[in-house]
Amino acid sequence: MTVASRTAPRRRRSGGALKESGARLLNFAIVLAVLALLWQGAVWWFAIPAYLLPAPPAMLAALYAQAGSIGGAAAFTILCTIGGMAISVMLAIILAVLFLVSPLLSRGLMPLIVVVRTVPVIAIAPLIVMIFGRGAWNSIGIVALLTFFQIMLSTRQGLIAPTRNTLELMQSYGAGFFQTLVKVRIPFAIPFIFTGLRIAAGSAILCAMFAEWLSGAPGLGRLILDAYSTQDFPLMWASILAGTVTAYLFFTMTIAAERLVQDWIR
Amino acid sequence: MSSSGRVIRRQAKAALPAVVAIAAFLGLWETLVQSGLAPTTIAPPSRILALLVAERGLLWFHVEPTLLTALVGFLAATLAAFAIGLLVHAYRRIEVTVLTMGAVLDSVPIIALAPILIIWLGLSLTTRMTLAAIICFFPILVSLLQGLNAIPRNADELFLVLAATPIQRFRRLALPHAVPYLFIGLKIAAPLALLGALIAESTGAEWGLGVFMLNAMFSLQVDQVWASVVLSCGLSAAAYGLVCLFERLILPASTRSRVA
Amino acid sequence: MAHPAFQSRLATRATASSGRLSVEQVGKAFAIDGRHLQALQDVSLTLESGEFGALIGPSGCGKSTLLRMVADIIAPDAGSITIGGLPPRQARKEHQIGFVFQDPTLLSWRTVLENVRLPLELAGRRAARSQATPQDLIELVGLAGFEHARPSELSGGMQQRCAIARALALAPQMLLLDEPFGALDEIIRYRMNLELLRIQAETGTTALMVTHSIQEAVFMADKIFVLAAGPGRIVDLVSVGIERPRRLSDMNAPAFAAAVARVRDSLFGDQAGNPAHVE
Repeated sequence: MTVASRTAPRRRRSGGALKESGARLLNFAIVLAVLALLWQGAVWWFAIPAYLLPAPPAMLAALYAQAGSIGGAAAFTILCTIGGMAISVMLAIILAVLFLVSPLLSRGLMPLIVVVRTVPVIAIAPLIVMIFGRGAWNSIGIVALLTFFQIMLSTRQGLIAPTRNTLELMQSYGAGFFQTLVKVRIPFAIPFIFTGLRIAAGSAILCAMFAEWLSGAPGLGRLILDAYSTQDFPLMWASILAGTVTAYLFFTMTIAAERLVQDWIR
Repeated sequence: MSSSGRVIRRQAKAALPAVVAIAAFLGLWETLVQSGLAPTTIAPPSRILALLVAERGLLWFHVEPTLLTALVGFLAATLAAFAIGLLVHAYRRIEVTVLTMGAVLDSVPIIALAPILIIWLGLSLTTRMTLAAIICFFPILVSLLQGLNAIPRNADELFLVLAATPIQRFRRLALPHAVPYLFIGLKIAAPLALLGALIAESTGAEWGLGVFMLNAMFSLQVDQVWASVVLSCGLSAAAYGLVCLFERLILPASTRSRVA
Repeated sequence: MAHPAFQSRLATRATASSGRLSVEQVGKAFAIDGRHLQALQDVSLTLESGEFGALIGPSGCGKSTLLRMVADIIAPDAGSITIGGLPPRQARKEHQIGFVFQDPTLLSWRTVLENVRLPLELAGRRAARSQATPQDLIELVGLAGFEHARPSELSGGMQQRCAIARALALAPQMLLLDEPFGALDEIIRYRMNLELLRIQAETGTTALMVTHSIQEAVFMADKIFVLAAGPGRIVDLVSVGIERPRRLSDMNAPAFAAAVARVRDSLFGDQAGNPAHVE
């Protein structure tokens, strides 16, 4: 790289959140396509048996054949994840507002929340399953528990984010606590909430799948491991692919949502 | 000396509400269970503690392989992330490709990685270590790259004017600048490595905390499940704390607080 | 008058051309978002050895770009630049250029002493020529006693002094400053102006400083190059005849006010951009 190009004025990135997501998904698709080519090459060159690693066409065939059950499982997983995160957000907002009202409560419970966030919530899944039984909808609760702490921290950060100048301005207009809350703090907090959702989303879907496996709920997690235990390898690989794509799509969507909200606020 | 005493007293005062909250929570928990109001699947803190003490031999027997798996996986992931991070920093063109591939790898559900690795590598300690390494690799890489990329433009220009060679620039600017960011990734990765070890064990192993936990769950041994969950939470927090301690030792205070 | 550590260097300054800055017909264009932007066109200026020059002009007039071209951070599209008879690339590689940024750009993990030592470490054996040790420089900029402090423990003004000491570590012929005091409040700024003048006089370095403050330009400089934007070009050269060493009281002198007025008129007066008079 020449000296000149390294320090020329930077280009401003054109296009918004949607363009970025499109580019991201395109990258993902390209990587998958390249991997598929390498994969096919490897399978053919090394004569790898199908149970170890099926060739892409075989896997796509299995995907097509079982589209119904795989699609249903994927939908279930996504619904549980979204449901869990929605519950988290509602609880997080309520608790964050409560913390605003009572600083004592905040000082008491915030350190707890910070500490619990670092705990491997997936390790708590067996606990939840034991307490609440092996119901199909337990994964919603587990996702809610997992995502709550991260979203809570982000929400709180957002609610206390308005600068002193802004708050003093509201005070000079004679705005009360709740008016300030609704007109200033919550709008300020929305981008932070979406950032928290994005951070939590990555592990949320994987956690949902793990919880499904433990509790036997009809989601992708159980499908993958059932296929594994019944040695139905095409199905297993097909659902792994579906699971990967689903997780990546979900993650990309949360990034896009975060960017959209940030752009809109601006 | 009195000023540090004052600082300690101030910190203790600030921590008081939290300590009270924890104590109250534990007390409430204990009384609810003892009074018979809570379902039988909830064990009281007293029984959990008793079990942890009484069965510490057995528990250690299972914790040891888990810790080993997590540690080796963590170190392997750090080394790999370092190697790849340096490569990407030197050849910027491959950054997008590497990051996308990492994101793809990261998206493969952990539940799916375990069977795949078992099919390829067989059921062994190495397989589990690999799984732990794969899970925590990406966060370390991302934070390392973030640190290497966040070098201020003026600092780059400074090293240009000073006619520094690329190696000098790396050793004296890029690397020290990236270390605080790296530690952020390491703090995320340490509990993840433990998590990976637990999940790896629960999908196929003979010993390990994950195995112990799962067996207890399936045979409805309430106290054992609670004890192992508490243990894994404690180990996770300890892993995080160890990285923090290590950071404190390596970085002077001024650079630590720089990165939020 | 000169600092003892620098006396020998001043004595061995063989020819009058060393430390002389010559910029001739320099031009630079950028392409941003598909648009062609002429940052600088036909820019020429000269600074004799040991002189203090100021670049002043509105945003977008290319003064920072010009400074970076002298430092060989950016390459010009047209024209030539020489520092002590050397092209910028050679001057840079021979450590004849010191650069002070608007942001002190100190390495936060190094102490003041280690920061000032950085150029010496990077230059290795080629640095033997320099007579002034980092300790001398720290004393020169008035930071004695703070050698083992970290940048985060210093105020903005002190950090910039450290940056100036670092820029002088290899006894360069040319000192380039990009709005070095822009982030400081006015009171500190006066103090730093005096300090920089003293340091520059004691080291005999040729200095070129970009500034937004007309007062600062007139107070510090021998020659003020006034630039206009669209495309960036020099529209006036104001020579400030006030004697050195300069004091704050010189700001009351009629010559001071006259120079300020002239710079102001050149900045805001003729919008068509025709040079009023170039000496």
